[in-house]
Amino acid sequence: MRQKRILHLFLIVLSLVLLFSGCTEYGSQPWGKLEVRFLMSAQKAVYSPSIDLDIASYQIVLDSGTETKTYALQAQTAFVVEGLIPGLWSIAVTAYNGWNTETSEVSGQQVATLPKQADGTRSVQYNVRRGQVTTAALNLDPLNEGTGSLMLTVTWSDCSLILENPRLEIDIRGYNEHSGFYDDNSNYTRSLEIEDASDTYTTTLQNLVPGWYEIKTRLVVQNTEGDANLFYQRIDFARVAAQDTEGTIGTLHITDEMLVTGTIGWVFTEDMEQALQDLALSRDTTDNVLYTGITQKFSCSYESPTASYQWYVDGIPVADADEKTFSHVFTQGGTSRVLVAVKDGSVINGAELTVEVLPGYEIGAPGQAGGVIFFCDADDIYEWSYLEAAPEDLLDSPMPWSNIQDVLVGGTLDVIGTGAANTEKIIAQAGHVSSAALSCTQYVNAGYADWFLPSIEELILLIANNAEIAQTGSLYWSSTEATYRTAKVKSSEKNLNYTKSGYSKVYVRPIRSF
Amino acid sequence: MKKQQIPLVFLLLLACLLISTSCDQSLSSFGVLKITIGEPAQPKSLNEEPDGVDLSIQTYTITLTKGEETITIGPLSKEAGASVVIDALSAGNWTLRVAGKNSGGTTIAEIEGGSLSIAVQRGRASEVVAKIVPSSGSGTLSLSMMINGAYDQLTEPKIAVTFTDADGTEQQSQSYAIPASGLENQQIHLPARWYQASVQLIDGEAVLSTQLFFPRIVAGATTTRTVTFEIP
Repeated sequence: MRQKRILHLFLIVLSLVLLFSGCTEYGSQPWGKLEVRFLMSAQKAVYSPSIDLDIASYQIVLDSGTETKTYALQAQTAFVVEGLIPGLWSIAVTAYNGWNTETSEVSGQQVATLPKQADGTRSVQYNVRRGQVTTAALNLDPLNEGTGSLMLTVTWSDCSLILENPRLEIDIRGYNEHSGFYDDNSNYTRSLEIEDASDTYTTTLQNLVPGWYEIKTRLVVQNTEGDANLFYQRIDFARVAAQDTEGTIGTLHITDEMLVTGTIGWVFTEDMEQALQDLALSRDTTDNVLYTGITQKFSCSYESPTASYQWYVDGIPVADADEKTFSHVFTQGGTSRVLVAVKDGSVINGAELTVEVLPGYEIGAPGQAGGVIFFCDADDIYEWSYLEAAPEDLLDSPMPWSNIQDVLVGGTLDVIGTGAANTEKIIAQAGHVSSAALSCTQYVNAGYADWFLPSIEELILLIANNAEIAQTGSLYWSSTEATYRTAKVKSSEKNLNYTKSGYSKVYVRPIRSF
Repeated sequence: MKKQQIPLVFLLLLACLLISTSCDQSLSSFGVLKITIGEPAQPKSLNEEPDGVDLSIQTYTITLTKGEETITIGPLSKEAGASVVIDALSAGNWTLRVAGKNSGGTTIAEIEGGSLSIAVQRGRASEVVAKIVPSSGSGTLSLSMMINGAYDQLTEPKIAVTFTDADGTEQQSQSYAIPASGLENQQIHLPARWYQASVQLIDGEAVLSTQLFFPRIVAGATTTRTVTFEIP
């Protein structure tokens, strides 16, 4: 029993020893430890406030509610406070731009502090634990309570290249260095013509929210040649601080050497070599049939002052066929391909027309109007290609040459190609009522009504090349007037020319050309 | 003859008379006209462009380089890009390149010659007229050829193909022997541009037929054409 009590007593003593051993440890580290780190942007402005915004010292106030500790320390990024009673501590930090080395106190102006919290204070709270190190990373913001100012001066007094009336454009906008976004609410835009050719322009912006500002300055001037393309342009950053009595001052001093910028102006012209629009070719008639020996005209629809043309027939280039239109006499029947190649710029295109060519008319063969061909214009002398005689004499012939016998018509000609004109002259004579010429024009065969009285040379050809007429032995009127009251005729039988009185009744054979 | 039959006989005689008259006319006095109305031949285009290539510029992308400096502008819409001014360039020689892109974003055009050197002088406006042309490079003509008709009459058939550009310069000339089955998809590579192609069917030394067409060769694309020769 006694031994049991001794054991219990031993255990109690051992427990107390162990307990006091822990208390001994507790006694050596009775408080918590707080490590404070400061974070601050090191960015420099091109234009800075008149006050020094570099942090030189911090004033740190720790408040547990029952105890307040104030520390002043020269600028450093971290420090450690030991011996804090465990619990919730409030931390407030104010940065200054000065440090009094003699008193080891902060001095100068406040330049940064903790950002304002949701509860309106500029302090943060950390829980300090017994025997542990609590780390507080504090982001300081530039002090932004109040407003600042920015005075910007642009001077170009040393620019000899500038003539008069420069235009100055200034764009200023607030820039949030933390978010990276521009603040649209703090924009300032100014574009002004300097009418008095002043070499300095100064503007002052008041009541600016403290912070960063981007300043885009552009001076557009005329150069010595009068071109308004000489300019200076740059972007600067200014920092505006609160409680800065002088404000931020920025001065741009522009010299000739700084006018190192130029412009490129150009115009694009496009040559995408697209196919030539509306390129096609057509014939001058809609007849589906072509004949050999007849001049056919083709036309290209594409027109351009810079276009050049080359015509081909069956793949063979035609010499000197380099116009927009093309005339061609096919010499062989069958299928032919007429092609035009058009070059315009760097584009060469083409179109093709396939035509069926029938064997053409020949002397003695039936003509277009049911008559007989008696002349072919093989040398392409006339506007037409063939002369065709009517298949029969006029039914009312023999007949007089004209009802007018005592007045010359005048101006009628002998040669081939003049019969139609002669006919018109005869009919047009004053007092004309009836004539062989008029009867020819009234003649219709196979739907064709373009007949006329042949000239003497046409008549000679007709009789020479038409066996049927030659065999008749008849006399035929020509439209060529010989002398007063007479007209030339042709004796088919004797193959001689006659002049016969206009009253005489002579046969008439109309002809036509095509 | 009954009195009632007289009109009937009269009508019969009249009919016979009419018939005989008409027969006489059809056989002697009148001819026969056979009219065939054919469709007028329609012109056909001989231009051949590659399929599926949009050669319409929609946007421009402009690149300026000088040393290590590179300025890229765009894509600009075609309308906006027709006249562009770029400023704030440092003085010196800049190299201008322009990429013209179609609606699919494929580069189809560039400055003639690929690039342009521009001297930017301090305080001066440099002016450039940049001609945009289809991208250079080579494309392919896939040429097929058929012979319709009496192939057996040919002893040594071949075709000769000659390509001439718009300047009249002969760019390429080739000839191929023709089997009875014709030629199929002969791949001919040419610099990108329009051509006048002349295809001649030759038998021995004789040129039997010549056909022309006008292919457009586009860089990286294939233009297809089939030429058919008819042999009577």
